[in-house]
Amino acid sequence: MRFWAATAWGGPPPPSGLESHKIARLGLGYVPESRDIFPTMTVRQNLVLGVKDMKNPGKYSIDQMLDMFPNLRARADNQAGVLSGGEKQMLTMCRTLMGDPDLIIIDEPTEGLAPKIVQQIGDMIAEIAKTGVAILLIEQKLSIALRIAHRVYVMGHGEIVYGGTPEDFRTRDDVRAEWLEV
Amino acid sequence: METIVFALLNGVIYGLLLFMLSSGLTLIFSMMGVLNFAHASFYMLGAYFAYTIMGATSFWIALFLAPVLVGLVGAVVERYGLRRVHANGHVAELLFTFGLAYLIEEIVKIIWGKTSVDYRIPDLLNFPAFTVYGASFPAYRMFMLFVAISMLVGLWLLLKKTRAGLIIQAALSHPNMVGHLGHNVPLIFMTVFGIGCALAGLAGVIAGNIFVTDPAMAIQMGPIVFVVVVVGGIGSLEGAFLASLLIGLLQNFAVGINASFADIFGFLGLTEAMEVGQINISSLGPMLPFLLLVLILIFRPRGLMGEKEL
Repeated sequence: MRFWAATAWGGPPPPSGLESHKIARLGLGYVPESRDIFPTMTVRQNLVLGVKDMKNPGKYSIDQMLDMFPNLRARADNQAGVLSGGEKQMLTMCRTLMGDPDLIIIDEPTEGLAPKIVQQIGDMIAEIAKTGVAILLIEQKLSIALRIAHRVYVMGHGEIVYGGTPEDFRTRDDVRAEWLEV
Repeated sequence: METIVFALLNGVIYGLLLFMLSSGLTLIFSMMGVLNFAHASFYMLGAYFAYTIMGATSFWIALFLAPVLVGLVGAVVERYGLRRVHANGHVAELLFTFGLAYLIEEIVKIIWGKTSVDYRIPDLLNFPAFTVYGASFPAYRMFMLFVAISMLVGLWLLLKKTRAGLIIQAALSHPNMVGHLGHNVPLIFMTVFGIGCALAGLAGVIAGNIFVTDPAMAIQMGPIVFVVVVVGGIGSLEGAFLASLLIGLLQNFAVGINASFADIFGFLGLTEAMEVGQINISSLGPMLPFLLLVLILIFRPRGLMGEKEL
C-alpha cells in the first residue's frame, strides 16, 4: 500500500516506452528511493551532472543551489559517498533540480531517516513546490504527506482508491481504516 | 649500466603501449560487464590501416587518421552489433566479441594477405636518438614514449577534468540514474567503445612497425592485455596503468638479465651440466606475465586496484 500526494502537473502526459533520457528531457525529474548519488564524486560534481545542457542551464546555478542548502555548501568538495542519509537525499533532490524539471517524482524520500531529518526533508520539498515545480511525492508515512501536499491519493492493489485534499482526507476514517491502518 | 637504462626505457615504453590497449579494454569492461575478446583485433586494424594510409599519404596522416577510423569501426560494432546482442545477456556478448575477433582476422587476411606487410618506421624517425656506453637507442622508441605519454595525459584530462568525462564515469557505475538525469546513455556507451577501440588502434599504429604487422598480431597481443586488466583489477584504470608498467618492466628486465638458474641457485648445488641449470632468465621473460596472473588470481583475486572480485 502506498500513499500518493501531488501538486498540479500542467504538462502533457509523458509517452510510455521512451528512453529514460528522453523522458527526462520532456521535463520530468526522478528522485529514486535508492538515491543513487555518485559516491566517488564530490557534491559539486554530482550537481554538475544534474545539468542537462551546460549551454542552456536551468533556473539555478550550482552556487545558488549551494546557498539555498548550507549543509551541502559545507560539504561541496567532499566525496558524496561520505554524506549522511539526509544529506544524500538533499543532494539527490538538488541534483535533479539542476536539470530544471517541470515535475519531479520523489520516491520515498524519508526512507531510513531520523524523525528530525524527515521534518527537514519535508520542509525542503514544500520549498521546491513553492518555486513552481510540480511534485509527485510517493510516501508510506502519512505525516509528511498530509503536512505538505495539496492533494492526496491513496493507492491500493495497484489502483487509486481515494483522491482528495488533505483536509477532506482527515475526515475519511473509512479510507484510513480500510487501506492505511494495520 | 646500459642494460639497466635500456631495460628501463623499453619497459616503460612497452608498459605504456600495454596501457593504451588495456585502458580501453577496462573501460569497456566497466560498461558492458564482459571482457571484449576482439579488443586486440582493433589494435591489429590500427596497424593495417596505418600501413595502407602511409602508403597513400604519409606516416603523420596515418598517425591521426588510422585511430579515428578504428574508433569509427568500433562505434559501428557497438551500435549495430553489441547493443542488439546485449539484450540476450553476457554470454551472448562474450561469444559475439569472440566471433568478431576471428572475423576481423579473416577479413585482414583477405584484404592484406596471410603474411606480414612491410609497415616501416618513417625515415624521419629512423636514426639513433642517443648513445649510452656505446649502444644506441632508436629515436622512434622515444617518439613512442612521447605519443604514449600524450595519450595518457589526454585520457586523464578527458576523464577527470571535463564534464563529458564526469558523465562517462558516472554512466559506467550508475547508467540508469545518469539516464534519468537526461543524459543519452546509449550514446555515451557507443562513444566509450569507440574511444577504447581508437586507443587500441593508436597502439597498433605506433607498435605495428617495430613489431610485425601480420594477421597473428592480435592473437599474440590479446592474452597479455587480459593479463594486464586482471592483474590491475578489472574495471580500474589506475590498476591497468600500474599493471602495464609492472609487466612492461618485468619482461624487459628479465630479457636483459644474462644469467641462468645455475648462476642463481648454484648454492643449492645446481650446475650448468643439469638441464634445469641451463634455463636462462631471459628465456623466462614471456612467461612472467602469466605467472603473475596465476599468482594474482590465487592471492589477490580482485587485482592490484580492483574493487570487485572476479
